Amino acid sequence: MLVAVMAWHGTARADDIMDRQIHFHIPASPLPSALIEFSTQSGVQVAAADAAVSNLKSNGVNGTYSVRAAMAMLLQGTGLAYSQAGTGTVAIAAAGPTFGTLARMGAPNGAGRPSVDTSSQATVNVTPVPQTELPEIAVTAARLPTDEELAGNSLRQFVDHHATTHNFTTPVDRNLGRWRGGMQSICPTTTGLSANYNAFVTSRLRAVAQYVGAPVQSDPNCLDNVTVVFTDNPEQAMKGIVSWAEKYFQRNNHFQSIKRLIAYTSDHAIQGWYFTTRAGARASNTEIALLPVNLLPIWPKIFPRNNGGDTNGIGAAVLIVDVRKIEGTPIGAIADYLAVLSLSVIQTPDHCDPLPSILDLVSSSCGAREKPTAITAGDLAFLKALYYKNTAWGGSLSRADIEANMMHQFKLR
Amino acid sequence: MAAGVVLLLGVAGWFAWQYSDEQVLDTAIGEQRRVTLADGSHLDLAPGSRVIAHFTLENRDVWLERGQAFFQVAHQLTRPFTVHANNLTVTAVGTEFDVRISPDATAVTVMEGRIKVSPDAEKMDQSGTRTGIIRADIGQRVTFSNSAHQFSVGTVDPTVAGSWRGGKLQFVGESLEDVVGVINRYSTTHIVVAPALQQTRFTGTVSPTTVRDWFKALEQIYAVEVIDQGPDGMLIRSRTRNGIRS
Repeated sequence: MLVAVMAWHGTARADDIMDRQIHFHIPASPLPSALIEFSTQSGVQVAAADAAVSNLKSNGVNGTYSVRAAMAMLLQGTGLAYSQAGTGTVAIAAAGPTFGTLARMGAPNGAGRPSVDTSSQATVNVTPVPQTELPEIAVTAARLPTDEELAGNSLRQFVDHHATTHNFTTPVDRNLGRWRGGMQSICPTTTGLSANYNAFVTSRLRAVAQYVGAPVQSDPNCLDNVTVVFTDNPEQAMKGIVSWAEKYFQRNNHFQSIKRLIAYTSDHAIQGWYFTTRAGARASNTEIALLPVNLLPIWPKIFPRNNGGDTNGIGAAVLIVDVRKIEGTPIGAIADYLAVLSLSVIQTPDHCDPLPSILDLVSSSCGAREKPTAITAGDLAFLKALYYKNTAWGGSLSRADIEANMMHQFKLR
Repeated sequence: MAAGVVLLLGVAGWFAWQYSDEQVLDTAIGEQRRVTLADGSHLDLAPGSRVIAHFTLENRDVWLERGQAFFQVAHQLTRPFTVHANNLTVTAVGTEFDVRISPDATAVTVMEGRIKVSPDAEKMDQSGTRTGIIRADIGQRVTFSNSAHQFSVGTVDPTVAGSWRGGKLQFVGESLEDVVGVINRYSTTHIVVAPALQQTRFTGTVSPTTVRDWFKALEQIYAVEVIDQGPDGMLIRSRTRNGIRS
């Protein structure tokens, strides 16, 4: 009986309007016109949020193809994907992240490419703000810390919590993780929000990186290596990338400990992983896909034992934001939080140091203390210090260097 | 004296009556009509619409009272063809254009030739808005917003704007409020858009016979949910998150 039912479904699928072969003639044109033309020629109803399609172009489709294939061709290169809503209707929305740099790492043993399951990921609204009211992209210097905030070992504590990992083959406070430049320069991308919010978060990450002197890829269409995903179902969204990572690291000598790192826990508003590299700055002209990488989760804080030497260069990062947990938080504050997280290897950002940080935003330890709404002077000084020293040929960066540099910055102002 | 005036008016009225013609045209929900007017002009009346055409020796006046109509105006240089819709007056000589009344706006789209659009002087003076005449060419859409009391002129694809005449509902960057306003004239399922979403822009096609699939698609492209309110129709509203509606 079950077999019969399934066979019937099989027949029904073959009749699917999406499988029909049609001769398409859709010239290259703005995407909205191309979609209307596609609808006319295929008889399929098309629905899109205008904000997602209005500024895009399509290469068009010419020739005989299935409706399904023509739809895919029409959306090629737009960053959009379609899903079926009923038999004769397609909904067009932003595709999930492609993990540009990570995808090129491929899988040595058949893990395929990292992917995000976007089936549950409808367009997500954060605090609804009209586009004209999005905060400024420009980074402005924040309020100077007070003497009280800098008292005692406040700075040391702040630096410790902003640069968690280090190279295990060197003394514990040296070779802090950072973007090393060249092919390992930051290239952020954001998905899961409406187009203007995605663009805002991406621009903000670039702007903060530029402001603090971190290496930023100049081409806005660069292969992304910081992938920010806003979702209301982080576990579901991460399934594809977790299974990829499990296979990717399978042959690693320390797979068992890495497996623990990959185990995804969903109790935090913002989570993610850093993919770090080694081989010093000389490797900065090499794609991370060709280098050995290590994986460090933001949560929990786990030191990769005996795995030293490959944590001091950030090769890629995946940052997952659970929109259910940031309800009502201004998008500018979230973007600044993500910017700090993307520029230094920070594990377990759940502190509340005397010197305020945007990391206090979703920290559980801050109690009634007023939450910051933007990147703070401490954050900016830390990041400037982290990216100040040219460590390309020998030398390294220590926490003490950073602390001294930060104090110097505060005194100059 | 008074009797003389009445007599004079009566004669003038009788004279005008002989040379005037009034036609009232209505369409039901889902019904579409193509009509040839007394002057040879053609009119496509969209579902759920009503026009009154009143022609005299000097003037051709048409009142679009609700809905949408496409006009193909017979060329008569000395006898202007004027469409009155909400607060707008559209004047044409020989041209093709579409007039649509939505809950918050009246839109005039030129398919061929050129038109003149001016606000209805009387109503505009009451609202204190500056009056003016806007000329629109082929491919232009003049929209008058009732709430903002403002004109805007945009460029549209005339094929898309006139697609309803061939039974297709196509939209490029139109507000959900306007889109739903059109669909409601085709379908007996009444659709309501929550105020926060009325200005959300939609691009795509809608077939009134499969409007349920369109609802599903909306839920995939926006953070919205479509609620069946029984006799009150379908409500499109923002999806709630932790009890807070965005």
